[in-house]
Amino acid sequence: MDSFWQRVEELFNSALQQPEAGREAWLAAQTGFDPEMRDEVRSLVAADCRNRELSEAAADRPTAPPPAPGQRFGPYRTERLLGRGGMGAVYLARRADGQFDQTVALKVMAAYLAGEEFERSFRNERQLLASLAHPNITRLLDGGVTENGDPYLAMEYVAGQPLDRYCDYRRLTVEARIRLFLQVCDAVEFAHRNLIVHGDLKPANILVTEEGTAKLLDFGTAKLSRDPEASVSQFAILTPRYASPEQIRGERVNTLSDVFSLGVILYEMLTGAWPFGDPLSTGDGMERVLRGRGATAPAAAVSDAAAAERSVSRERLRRQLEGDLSTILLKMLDGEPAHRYGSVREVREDLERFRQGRPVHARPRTAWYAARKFASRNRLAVAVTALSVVALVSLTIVSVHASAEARAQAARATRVSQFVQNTFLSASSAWMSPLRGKRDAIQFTDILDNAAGRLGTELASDPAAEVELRNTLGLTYGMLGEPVKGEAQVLLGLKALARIPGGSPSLAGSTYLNLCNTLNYQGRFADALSACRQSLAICRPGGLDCLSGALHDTAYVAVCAGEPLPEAERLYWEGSSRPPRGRTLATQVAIAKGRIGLLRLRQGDLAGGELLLSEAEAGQRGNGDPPIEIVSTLYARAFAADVRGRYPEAVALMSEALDLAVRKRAAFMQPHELALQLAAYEALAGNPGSLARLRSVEGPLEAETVAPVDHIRNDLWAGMVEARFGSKAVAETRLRTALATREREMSRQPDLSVEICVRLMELLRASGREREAAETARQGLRAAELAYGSYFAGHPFVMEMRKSLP
Amino acid sequence: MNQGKGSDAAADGDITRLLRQWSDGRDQAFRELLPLAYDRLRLMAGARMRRERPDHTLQPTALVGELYLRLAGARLTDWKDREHFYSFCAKAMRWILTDHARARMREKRRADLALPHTEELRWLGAREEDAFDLDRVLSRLEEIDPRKAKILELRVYLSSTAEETAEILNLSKATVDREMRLACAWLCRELRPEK
Repeated sequence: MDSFWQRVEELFNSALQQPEAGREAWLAAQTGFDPEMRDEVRSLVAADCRNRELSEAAADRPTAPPPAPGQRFGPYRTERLLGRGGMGAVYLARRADGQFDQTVALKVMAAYLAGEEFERSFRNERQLLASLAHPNITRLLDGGVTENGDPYLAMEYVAGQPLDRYCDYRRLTVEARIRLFLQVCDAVEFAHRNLIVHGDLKPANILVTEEGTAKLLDFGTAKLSRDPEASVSQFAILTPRYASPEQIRGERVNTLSDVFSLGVILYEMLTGAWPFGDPLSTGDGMERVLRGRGATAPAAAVSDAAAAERSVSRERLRRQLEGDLSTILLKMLDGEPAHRYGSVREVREDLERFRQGRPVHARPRTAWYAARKFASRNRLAVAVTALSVVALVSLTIVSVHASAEARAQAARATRVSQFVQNTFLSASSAWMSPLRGKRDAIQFTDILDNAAGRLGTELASDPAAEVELRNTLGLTYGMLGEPVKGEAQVLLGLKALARIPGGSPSLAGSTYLNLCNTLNYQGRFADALSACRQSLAICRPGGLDCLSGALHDTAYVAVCAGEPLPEAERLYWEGSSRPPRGRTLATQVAIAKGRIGLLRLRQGDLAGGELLLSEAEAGQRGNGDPPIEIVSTLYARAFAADVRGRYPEAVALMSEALDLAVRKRAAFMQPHELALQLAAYEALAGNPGSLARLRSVEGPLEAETVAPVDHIRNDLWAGMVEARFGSKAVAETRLRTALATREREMSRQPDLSVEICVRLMELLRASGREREAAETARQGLRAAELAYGSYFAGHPFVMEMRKSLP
Repeated sequence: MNQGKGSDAAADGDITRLLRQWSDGRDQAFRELLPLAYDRLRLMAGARMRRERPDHTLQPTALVGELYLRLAGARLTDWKDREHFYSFCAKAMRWILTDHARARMREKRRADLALPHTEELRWLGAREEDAFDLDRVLSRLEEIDPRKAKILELRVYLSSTAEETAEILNLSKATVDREMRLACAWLCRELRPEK
């Protein structure tokens, strides 16, 4: 800013302070012999005044003429505007050439979009539509270009209402809505068969006629799916509410993107809510969509108003949306295209099966699926961690094998770091390349794939380095929600191990441990356990460094796999004296005591368990900020308080555990699960707020729960809350589901059944179903006898159940 | 447990942090950034559309959608902080509107996408050529007085209020008001010269 302008500004501001009458004289005195300055300030002050006048005048009159009807487009004359969209305007028009009377919907390209790209897409739509003759797709009648060069399309005029409004005005039932939706599926399926992807499916693009026929409109953004470049074009206008994650990311669209959009549409038709939260704060929801966070469980999304619009009570609507319908919807809405229905036809077939009461093909999330889901939700955090892991590999290798083969290692470190560097260079050059036109960001997995592809050739001469890197890749894939790829890497690593001259037991031990990890991510607990045992067999004899991890992981996986608890307990004991690198013996002992304490409680030894837990807690609280592992100690103590009927104490302990996990952002501590456990104890303590807490976590929990043992507990805790403050029927279902899962999946951990039986018995007793209560008590006592052994007699649960026996 | 719903201040703090990470080369930060900025932008675009002339064709979300794409294409710009981000958004809006204006002037078509409404400049956009001329004139003001140009850009293209603009640029509201007044007078003189 030069001094002239600076002075102009000063004078302008001061001039405005002067009374208008004396302003001119004041300005002349200030500017003296600088007429240029005076003119500048004067013109600006005058403009300031004019600006006000113009602004006031503008406020009073409408600024735009209404769109003019009566324009000719070829043989058609427009009559009135029907609507405007991102691509242009649609008019009601009539044939004006006297040939025959015909009303059409005339689509005219928006003027501001004029330009080659849009004219191409207009022609594109015309071409695509011409090939689509289907009762549920608006027919293209004619198309052409006016003398002025304006392109237009004449389409079958559909007098109808948008899908969502049609349904709500008529208060259509769930069944009627599904029937209507099936017509839409039919149309989209037909388009897909003709290799056309719609790309912008939304209720506003689906009209329903008076007779109840759905008509799909607007193929303006449609793509030929065989077009390899089919992606969101530079000017494509997103409708984020119905867009799939891959569309939002600007990646290729394909038929599976349409499946996702149809999923959002059906979800809204059935529940009246957007699957990803509050549609008005699309940002939050977009985040959920983009991060692949699961949709809210449909039953949890319904409101009273939505139920009324579907002519049922809210409770009934909730029940209708549980089970198969929920499974179908969530499968359509999966963030991973590969996990959605493979085609619209499969969706339609499953919905038809559902209507006929036959079993649907969609399965609720499997453990593998949920593990993937969990990992992908944390993808961003994980990706960053993983990046540094890869970068650190070269250093790790040096430190792990430090003394023994120092010289060989130095050479290896150089080779590995070279490899890592190349990986990063290729990735970053892709990042840095001119990005106009190429918007797809490099995915982290792309970098991994690239690295994996080069590993075999570039490090062929150094199998040990190859094993290390494959281990890292395997672990990283696992964390990124690609455990199958991870497993493949680790298996390749095992092959390379055989090529190491003289072998390397320590490397073999950690490789098997990694295999265990990738299998664990897939929910294949039995396989994971045998991989762990392999690792243990290798690490134990020499007391190798991998032993600590092997012991801990084997114990953990053994519990997940449903092995008898004493085995896990022994492994934790053995590991308590072997702290891994970077952990003190005292910390290691405290952690082990916490783990074993919980296992003792589960075996009925309340006194022994509580003693161990209090020692663990003292060790962990030691000084200052407690380590995150204290969370497990706290929830185990809460469990003990629950068993002994000290509910307020259980609530206090769980609150602290939850707070800690949240505060330390320890996602691996599964805050949702902690919250559910808290809700269960709150319900026992008589706090009605527990129901709201249950509702807030049950959706996310359903998506993240992997192990059967966790499913069982979640059903138990949810059942406890439902029994006291929610629906008794739901409570009974959940508790009985928990029992059935336990029998089926965890037959060697009978203790899991005991509390379920106690809570179910209480529920039955409260409903006056004494005979069934007694039956349940007997079942619980049988489980307790197996689980508690010599601690059976004085156990509070046992005494409680005996009261129900006649 | 409502961890996701931070206060505005927290969200803005995150925006700043993510921008830094992004400019430091952490590509993923951009992905995290978009959803955070989305609400804020949508709000701004929404305000724009509500006050806008009745003939608008683009929905607020569509505008933001386009803005997204522009942002995505401009990831290599040097970001420093929140100010950069919002200034960048304003610039992106400016590109979008100016591009449209240029295209339709070339094709001699009627305006479909109008300039947003700015309380102090209600006359702005009444003429077909305004959207196009504004960009040209703003470029000149940028040379004379970059801060005023920036204030105008935020206030016009992002429809941010004086308070928001003050916050974004870390100025007092009084300063923004004062600067805005001269900037408006200047704009009026350039675009609506006295006959």
